[in-house]
Amino acid sequence: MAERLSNRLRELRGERDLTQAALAERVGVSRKTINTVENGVFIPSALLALKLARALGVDVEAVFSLDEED
Amino acid sequence: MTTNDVERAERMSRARAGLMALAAAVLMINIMIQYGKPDYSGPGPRGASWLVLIGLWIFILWNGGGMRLGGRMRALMNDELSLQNRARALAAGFYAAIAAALTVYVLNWSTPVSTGDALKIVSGGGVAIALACYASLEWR
Repeated sequence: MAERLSNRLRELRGERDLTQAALAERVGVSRKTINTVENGVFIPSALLALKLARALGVDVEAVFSLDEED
Repeated sequence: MTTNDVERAERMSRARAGLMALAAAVLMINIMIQYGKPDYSGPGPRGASWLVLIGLWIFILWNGGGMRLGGRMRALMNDELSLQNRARALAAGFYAAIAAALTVYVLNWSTPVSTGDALKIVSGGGVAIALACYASLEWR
């Protein structure tokens, strides 16, 4: 059974009317990093995951979760 | 840090990736047109220029370049994703260099390859693949 990291970054960012660039600025990374995390292309480190959650004002579990695949 | 900084860093990162793709093409063209010409791998300015070229791009692959930029801009251009892309590109370059070395090893059984040419194929091939790989990862 494989596990996959999914995230609600785009949804949470949208709820706060934040652009990718604005969130990138808050976290101190490039816009591309935000884009690739949202699309599941890039799996961020624990440090970046925590920074993203803090920038959105939520717990890290509200942003990232583990999905199990058959 | 402002949104303008983020946008500027993105533009510069794309330009850096473009420059690396161009450098990869130049390295491959150099290998092809200089193959079998000892002047380009022997002692002298032409031979030394290869050392400078490879050394320069290895240095940029290692630290991301942009030494004249401010710390914040460099941090944005060399964030976590960029560092991971560079690590993957360097791994791809390493495997390409090994593949190039094995190819030259086999080629040498039928067609003698000079030491200078062999080393240029291995070093240039490895660095060119690393640069091209980094550019493609940055453009995704």
